[in-house]
This record gives sequence, structure tokens and C-alpha cells, in this order.
Amino acid sequence: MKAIKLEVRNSQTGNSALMEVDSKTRMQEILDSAVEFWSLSREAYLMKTGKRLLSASKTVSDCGLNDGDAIDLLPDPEGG
Amino acid sequence: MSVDIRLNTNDRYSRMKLVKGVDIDAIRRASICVVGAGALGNEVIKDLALYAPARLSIVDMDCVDYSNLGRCFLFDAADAETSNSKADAASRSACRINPDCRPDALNIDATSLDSAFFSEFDVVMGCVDSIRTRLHLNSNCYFSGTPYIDGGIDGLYGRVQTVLPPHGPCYGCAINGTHLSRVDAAFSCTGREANIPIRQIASDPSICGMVGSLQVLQGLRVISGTLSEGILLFIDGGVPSMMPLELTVDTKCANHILSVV
Repeated sequence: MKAIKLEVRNSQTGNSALMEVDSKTRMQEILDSAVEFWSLSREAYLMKTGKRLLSASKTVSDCGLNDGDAIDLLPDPEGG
Repeated sequence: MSVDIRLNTNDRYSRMKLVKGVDIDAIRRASICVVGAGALGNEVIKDLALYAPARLSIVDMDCVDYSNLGRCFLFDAADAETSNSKADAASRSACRINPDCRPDALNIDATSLDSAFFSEFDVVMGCVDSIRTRLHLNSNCYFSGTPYIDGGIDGLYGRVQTVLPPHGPCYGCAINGTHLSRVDAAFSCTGREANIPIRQIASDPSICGMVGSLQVLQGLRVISGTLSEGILLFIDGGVPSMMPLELTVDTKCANHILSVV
């Protein structure tokens, strides 16, 4: 299966990381890897590409992501 | 022929009646429930009090403490001194802001309220500080067919999500494993509620004002019949920017699976 390179960007810090995944990789796996890689605090996060929110239960292929696409990690505010 | 274009200065709602896209008569007849009377709830209750809907219910089981006074303008030092109920204190202040507004204060845990309760309202405003409570409000509102408008704040970040059942995406469609691990973190491995240290969430009054105002605007549009699609707005006060995010129904979301069955 052909590897797909995605750029994952942390909107809070401006940091980015390149991830090599395959089309069947679930978005939740990408999110978990990013949280672990950056040692992010145990908070809720959202993922988007452009203005489209990405569903964690979907795969890279389901989300229509292609080689070179960027994913942004956003904090999902929990306070009220 | 001359036309008298003077506004009726004796009508406190005269300027609101001029706003296009907002049906003041429908809002004055509406039933609105605000869940959570903290920083965000204060903003939402203030805006709604100015409109004085026919029924405004305020749900919160907490009491006022001094740490609330930095961002909750509906409370004062006397409320903190006497540990007054947040719902009662917010209700009294709403009456002072507009005597036409007579909120009912419910000093109860929102997760004890069911879909039958939420079905009594035209809109439910979520101003809560936990994902667990959001999930409860979202599900019960979705199944009762009641529009749910969720607000969230953390430092300079904010969220506003409008959920319009029965077809649109809901709060459950937007969440993932990081949200669920936050819910799980409140429980021990035996399933009992655990007493673990939790992060204190940063709260900026300006962001609270923005998020609360946007929640109310969405609610007024729902009641006025001028909003037909749900939306998720992400606010970054550090840039500053406000971005509508495109969200679709997650076919694995429990609310949608159950609604199909």
C-alpha cells in the first residue's frame, strides 16, 4: 500500500510534524500519535483540513486526504 | 403628506424590533433553557434577559464563590459570602436588568434532566464545563427535537455549535477519543466517580462575552426561523479569528445510529 505523507500542524504552538500513513489509517490514530509526539496535555482536540472538520472514526481515504495535505490540530474548549 | 418616523421611546424593545432577521414577538413568546450559570452562562443570561422571553429557565447546582466574581457580573460579593446558589443569583440579577424577565432557577444537576424536560423548550443553551454534561444535553435535546446551542471556552479559544435535530450533525458527531478520555478521567476503574485533580480552565471575560453573544444570536435566529443549518464556530482570540468549520453527520455517532433505528 502506497504511503501518504501528511503534515500535522499544532495550531497552539505552530509546530508541525510529517507523518507517513496509509489510506486505511484511522484519523483517531493520527490524533493519538500527534498528542503523544508533542506530549500534549490531556485535553480535547479537533482535527481539520482547510475548513473541514475531520471525523476520528474515518480513515485517511474516507476523508479524501492525499499526499502532501495538511491537518490542523485545534483545542476544543471545554470550559463554561 | 408627512410620515412620522420617530421611534417609540417608551418601548424598551423598539430598537430590537428594527433588527432584520430577529423576530422579537417570537422571542418574547419563547421558552429558553440556559444550563450552566458560570462565566458563559452569565453572558447568555444577560443577553436573554434584555429580550425577556416568556420562559427563561436557569439550571445550575453550584454555589457562588469568590473565584467566580472575576468574570461573572451577575454575582456580587454577598452571593459569594453566603454561598448563594448560582441559578438563584443569576435569576435575581436578570430581573434587575429587565423587570419583564422572570427566570425560574433550578438548583439541580443538569444530568438528572431528561428529554421530556428539554422538549418543553424552543432552544437549550449549553454553558457547561464538562464534556460529560455536554453529551447528556446533546443526546436529550436531539431525541426531544430541541435545538441545542453549545458554548465552550478555554483561555483565548472558544467554540459555538448549533445542533438542529432531527437531521443535522450533533455534538457527538464532532468529538473523538480525546473527548471520551476526558469523560473517562472523571471515573475510577470501578466505574465510580473518582476524586482526581482536574485542570482549572482559563477564562477570559472577553472570550466569554464573544462566545455567549454568538450563542444567543444563534438561538434568536433559531426562534426567529432564520437559521436552517447547524454550524460549528471556532474562535481564536489570539489571532483574532472566527472560523466556521464544515461538519457532517458521523454515521458512527450513537445519536444518529439510534435515530435511524
